[in-house]
Amino acid sequence: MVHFTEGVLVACDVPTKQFILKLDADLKPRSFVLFDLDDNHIFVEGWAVETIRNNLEELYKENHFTFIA
Amino acid sequence: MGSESRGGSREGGGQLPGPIVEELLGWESKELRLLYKSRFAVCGLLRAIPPACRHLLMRLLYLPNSDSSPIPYDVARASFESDRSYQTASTQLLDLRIMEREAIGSVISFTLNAAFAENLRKSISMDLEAPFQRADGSSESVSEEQLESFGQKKWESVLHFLVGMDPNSTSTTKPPKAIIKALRRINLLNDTGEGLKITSKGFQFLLRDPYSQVWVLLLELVNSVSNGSIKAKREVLQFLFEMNYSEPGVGYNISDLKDGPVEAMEALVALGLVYKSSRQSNTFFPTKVGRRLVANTGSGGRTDEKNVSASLGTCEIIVETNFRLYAYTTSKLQVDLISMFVHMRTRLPNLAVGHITNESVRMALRNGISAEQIIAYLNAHASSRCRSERIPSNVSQMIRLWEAEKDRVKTKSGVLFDKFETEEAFDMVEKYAFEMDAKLWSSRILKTLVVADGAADQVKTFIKSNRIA
Repeated sequence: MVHFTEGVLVACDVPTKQFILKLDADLKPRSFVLFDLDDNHIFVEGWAVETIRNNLEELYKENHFTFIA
Repeated sequence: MGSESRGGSREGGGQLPGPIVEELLGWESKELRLLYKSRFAVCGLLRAIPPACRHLLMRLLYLPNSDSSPIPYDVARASFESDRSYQTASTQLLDLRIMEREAIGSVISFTLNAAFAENLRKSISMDLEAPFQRADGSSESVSEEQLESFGQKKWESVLHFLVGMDPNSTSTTKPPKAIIKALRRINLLNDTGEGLKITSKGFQFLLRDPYSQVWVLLLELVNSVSNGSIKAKREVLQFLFEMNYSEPGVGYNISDLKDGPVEAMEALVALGLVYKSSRQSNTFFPTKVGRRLVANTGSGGRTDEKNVSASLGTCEIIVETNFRLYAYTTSKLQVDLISMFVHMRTRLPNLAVGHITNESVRMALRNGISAEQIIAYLNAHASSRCRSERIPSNVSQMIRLWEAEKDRVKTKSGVLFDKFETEEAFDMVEKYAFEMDAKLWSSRILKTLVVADGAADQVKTFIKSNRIA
């Protein structure tokens, strides 16, 4: 029987996907990844999109070297 | 290859219709025909249309008997190499009603708008007389420099207000209410509850050349002045075309003008297109911006950068490879503008120093300004002392990377279908979704399919009606 699930398809590069998976594991029991589709795609709960974006923003900030105090 | 790319880019740039043509394309043919009765409008429009259109028009203008007998299709087509270039040129002339198509059976022929052709021929062979009556009796006199600084000051106050760095600007520098209202109507400013704030659209607006800026605001103001009456709009536009041929530093009588421009006069003064010594004065002086508006907005929005900097206050920018930026300018407006995407550090009388940082660019990106716009702005103002007159490529690359970083993750809401029992069933549904252009992702091995949100219900119905298990 065909089964369907509503959610959000996230397309990203490989490291970003790994980061999202880690985020998912950290947030347990409120995990949001519904299906791990392939290297560049995962299917997640709709509410998680904001969380993912905010956490990525943080990550980029950490990774960026600013020479101005 | 070299010649090909050169020709291509030139043609591509020429095909972009300027704001004037864009505006006129929305007009009814009746109003266009009335506008073409003005020689100044005809001459102005000839400059505004793309080169290919101009070429076709000039070809057809002096054909023998072109007034009395229609021009056959072959004759019009003959001066173009490809069907495509002919099509683009003729479509716009037809849309502007400069050229009309007639089809008798399968024979297609064209006629030129009689008034337009007549006016154009006259203008080519004769001098254009002055568009307005000189105000001889009046004792007022204004020098060209005064007019120029007046126009500049007026427009700068509008832009300054838009940049909004100075919330307690005094009433003398604040633009009139009508302009502020118009800025809000076209969504350049937004009331956030704690006062007016610039929107992302407004941000982009600031980076455009001043002539298109004036033009956008002017159209909005004219619309509101005349309650959307197309007649008044036509008269104002005709007035702008006429102003293009007025003499610098000469005053003209207001009483000779039509109703439209008289009604719009206040808005024109507020935008710095014309100068009046007092509200009651019956004499107006076209300023430099006013005289050049039509000519400069015509050519697809591409104005030479000299003009841009002249009306905003000159600004020469040097960007070093270490992301340090030096802006040689005395204009506060330019510094405010730059500080929207640059971390400013030092402000000296004729120089501002800052850093282009991830943070500052990110802020600009969040405000809706694109990396390309930032780079274009910096390049346009790059100091002539820089070797290539462009910013260093590592800086522009970095700005682009920062933008790309912003959309490293793409999300699309959808519905995931899985647990298909057979591969055939999966193939069928996948094909259906693909044909609807709704398939976001699929894998035959996992027998899983993701469909865009909007089309999910249709796919569900398809599954039900075909009894797919």
